[in-house]
Amino acid sequence: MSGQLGLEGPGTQPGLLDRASRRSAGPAGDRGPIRPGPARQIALRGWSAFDRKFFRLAAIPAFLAVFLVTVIPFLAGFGLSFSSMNSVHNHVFPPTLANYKTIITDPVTHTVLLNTVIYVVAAVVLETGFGLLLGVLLASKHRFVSGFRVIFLLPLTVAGVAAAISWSALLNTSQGWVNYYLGLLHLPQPNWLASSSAAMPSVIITDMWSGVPVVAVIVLAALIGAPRDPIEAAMVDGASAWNRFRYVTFPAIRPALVLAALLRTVAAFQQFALFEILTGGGPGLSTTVINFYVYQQTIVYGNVGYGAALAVLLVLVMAVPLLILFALSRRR
Amino acid sequence: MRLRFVAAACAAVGLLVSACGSSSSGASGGGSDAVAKQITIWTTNTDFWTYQSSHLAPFTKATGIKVTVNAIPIAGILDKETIAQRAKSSAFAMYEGPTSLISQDVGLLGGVPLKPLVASSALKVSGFNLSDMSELGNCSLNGTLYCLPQFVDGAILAYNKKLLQRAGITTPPQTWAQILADANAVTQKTGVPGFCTRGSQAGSAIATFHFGEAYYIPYSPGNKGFMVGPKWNSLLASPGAVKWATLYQQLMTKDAPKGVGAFTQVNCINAFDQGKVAMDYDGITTFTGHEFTPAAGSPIAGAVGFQAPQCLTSSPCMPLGPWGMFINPNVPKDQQNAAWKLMQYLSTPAFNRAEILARNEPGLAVDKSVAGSQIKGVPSDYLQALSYVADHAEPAPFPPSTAFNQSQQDEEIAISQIINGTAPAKAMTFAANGQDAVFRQAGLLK
Repeated sequence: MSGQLGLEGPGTQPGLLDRASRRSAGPAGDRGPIRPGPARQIALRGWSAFDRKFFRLAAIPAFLAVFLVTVIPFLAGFGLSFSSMNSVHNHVFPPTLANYKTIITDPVTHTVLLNTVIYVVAAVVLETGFGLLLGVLLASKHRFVSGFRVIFLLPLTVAGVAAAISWSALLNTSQGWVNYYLGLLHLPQPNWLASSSAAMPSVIITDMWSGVPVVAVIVLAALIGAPRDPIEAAMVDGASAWNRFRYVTFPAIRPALVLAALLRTVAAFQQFALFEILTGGGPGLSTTVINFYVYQQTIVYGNVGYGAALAVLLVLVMAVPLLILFALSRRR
Repeated sequence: MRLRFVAAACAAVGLLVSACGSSSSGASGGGSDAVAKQITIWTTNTDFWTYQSSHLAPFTKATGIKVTVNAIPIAGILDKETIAQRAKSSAFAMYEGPTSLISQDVGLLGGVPLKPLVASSALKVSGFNLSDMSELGNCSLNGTLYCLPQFVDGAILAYNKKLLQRAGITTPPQTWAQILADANAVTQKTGVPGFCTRGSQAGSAIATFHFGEAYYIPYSPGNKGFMVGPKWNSLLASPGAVKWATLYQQLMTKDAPKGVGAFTQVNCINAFDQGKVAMDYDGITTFTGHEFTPAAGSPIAGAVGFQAPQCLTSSPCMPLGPWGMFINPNVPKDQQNAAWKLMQYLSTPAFNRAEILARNEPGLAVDKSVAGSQIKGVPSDYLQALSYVADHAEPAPFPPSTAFNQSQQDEEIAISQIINGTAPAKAMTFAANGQDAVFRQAGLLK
């Protein structure tokens, strides 16, 4: 039965092998667009008419669920972005473009957008870089590596809000442990969360605490799963450690790394708890990012229409790095 | 076969009709004094609600009303309520919320005026007396009473006598000018920061800022609240407001602990309890047994005093905004009546006194007769400060508009700018412009 459904066994594997062999066929195969259609057709090949009908029927609840919880809210939000619903008018009509005009003219929104770009770029680049480094270190063969793996991956088990509250206490300028130990070492004690210049870096550091292990665990899995033969061949050929990594290991784990960067980009755009608990978006606007600003406008200040317009903007802003990363993931 | 199907269908329709009938009779709530036997209330998950919800058995026994308490984390309750208000939710019969947002509550959800309920003898709970309740002005909007206060609001100063004495100060500061001078003296002479109040945006620094601000913006009955003029013009850039902002900046940048801009209420009270700041200015309910009777050997043992800064004129200067208990108008009348009975029960002097003694939290004294009596273990200067605050409450401190909350947006930013060194006049002008823009957009400021 499983073979019939194409979930495993001969129904699926030839398709995957076909794609793999086409990929390695040469430049002509590379340039061609990758379309999911043929692979699915191959997967469905050999199915009876009943199976196909059942497959489509069985998929309906999932499509319906996605439609209900994603498509409809998105459309509703998009519609609301043209409304003047705010703390005074609890009405959707009449439609207006005023919210989008405000986005263009409001200097606060520009600051918020800039903060968002700074935060997302810094967090994703640093987390991906350090995560790669940590993943490589954790993949090495060492007596204590299992222990290190547990220690470094522990932050993954901590709830975001709990982590934010703990970091808030640690980074407290005059009562926190971080400055206490810096003081013992006669080092400068920064005003971590209360100064407009240090607040954003503090949030990024806090985000890295939980973000780096995410990347590391993905890299580690990719490294463990990567074939050993090419590496050993390169060693036999006398390639240096750096060259082995640069030309053999890195290409093997690049898809996983792109996936990790993708996940961290989405997570960075979604980040809320850190801003709410650590800084409240302050001092001033220095840590107000668009996701947090959407919440403030919509829920706290009741500007539902403007908040919805900002949410649409957030979707557009998110699309840019995600499209770049998708493009990167297709490059070979 | 077909007959059996028809019979089954008829039975199903009959059941549906009877179910609809019973539910509609439940929704109508019977007569105007009918009381539901079960209600759900939305509260914060704070300690005093833990006490209250665990002491409802006598109420249920006496009235037959079962209460389901939906305790919502305090960090999220306002968001949840705002969404429920917009949706005209009927998921709760009673809810608690800050009276500073009363116009939003009534504007979005609708409000249940309490006076008609007070007048109903059938709904009266023994021991409850509305005229004994304090801070009722905060529970009113345009003269109509919509809630009962949960606790006594206001901010007072706790000071460390030993630290003040080390700086040569023998009498506690009475006014804000004296607080600044004394804080400065303590900081310079002892090396211990002289003053602390929450400065974090995440910790609602605006709350204590507002209390200080109201001392410097003269009260006028014609104003739309303590910071908005009679024509809905912002007073945040007025000379008084700038004077306060300047004083606040001096306190927060010269005399407060380093990093006070990220301090919450908890950070300041911890610093005070550890003897690491000489004065802590915050809400009345901040101070409890830890400060009333500090443990022997504590850095503040035998050293704590309390003082409410004195109003600069004879006019009231306290923009109090306690949390209150509101009734949801979108539930059937019998549930509203049951909620009203519960609100009365929780506000009776007997319940109030028992709660205060159990929790050692006199800030919960919403009944004047309880607040006026001596409370075991509570220092007399604390009670005097409490009384001063209640006696100087502004009658209608917050602008009666659903746009009020939004109008504070730029002031929140301005406060942290002031702490970070921006010129007070510039920051307050930014705040005033923001407030004007919101009220102009709302059609209130012409």
